[in-house]
Amino acid sequence: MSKRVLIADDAAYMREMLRDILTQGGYTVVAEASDGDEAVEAFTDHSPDLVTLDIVMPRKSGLEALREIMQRDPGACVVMCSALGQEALVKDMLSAGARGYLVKPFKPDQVLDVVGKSLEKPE
Amino acid sequence: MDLQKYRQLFVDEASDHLAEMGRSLSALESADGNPAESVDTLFRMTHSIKGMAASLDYTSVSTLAHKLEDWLEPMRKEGIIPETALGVIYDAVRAMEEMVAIVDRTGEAPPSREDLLIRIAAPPESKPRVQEVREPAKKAKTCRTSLCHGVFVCAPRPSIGFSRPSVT
Repeated sequence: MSKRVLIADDAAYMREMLRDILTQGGYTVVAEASDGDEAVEAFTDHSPDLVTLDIVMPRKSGLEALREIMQRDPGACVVMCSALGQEALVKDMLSAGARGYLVKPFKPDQVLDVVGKSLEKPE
Repeated sequence: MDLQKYRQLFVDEASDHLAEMGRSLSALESADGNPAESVDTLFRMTHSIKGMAASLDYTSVSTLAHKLEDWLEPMRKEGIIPETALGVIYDAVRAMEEMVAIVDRTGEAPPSREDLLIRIAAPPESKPRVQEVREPAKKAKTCRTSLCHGVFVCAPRPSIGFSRPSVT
């Protein structure tokens, strides 16, 4: 059974791109979220194996959503998506419990590599 | 990668974002609504446009958006928009609209707007228009890490405090 993924990004374009990459990589995208609140709600509703979470989102930032998700499930597997120039936030992502990160623009092989390794990494 | 599909998605979404930025600028100009929210919207929309453009190698668009985003970030944190900044932001939004229109018409990367990059690089004059007091950024504890292919490997070291930028 393929691993189930929740994609959270306020840009429909990015969600579409990640969906295509992950689906072609053999993953099942079970839900998408366009802000931090939706991400936390969708995580609770769908219990995905992995979440991709954009850092900059409306209503609730990716980091805030990450903290809430980790509070609900300390074993949650979350990969943060940052953009060029946000590498300084990597340490904050680690403190909050993220397993991995991706930097946009996404390259399909890197996405699949990071997602695969994050799922393998022990909690 | 289906370039045609992503090109259309880029045009549609970037157009929506730029329209949203126009509304935020109007709100700031007329002192309507919550100025901090308007600045935040400008920042987020610029950030999104940057990411989309970079993924399609529209370097001129992603570079302009990146410069604008960096320029907006301190304004977003402080809640201060210098009056002199509004004109530059309006021009940047118009430029990005023209660039997106070129992509829509031709499918090609639009030419760079060096003039705007130079203007954005110059700091805006300090003439606060709207000010909102924000709580200072809280410190976050981290541990030192090494990073391998985007997956964290945490070394067992004592926590070190870092100041965290206020990100919403």
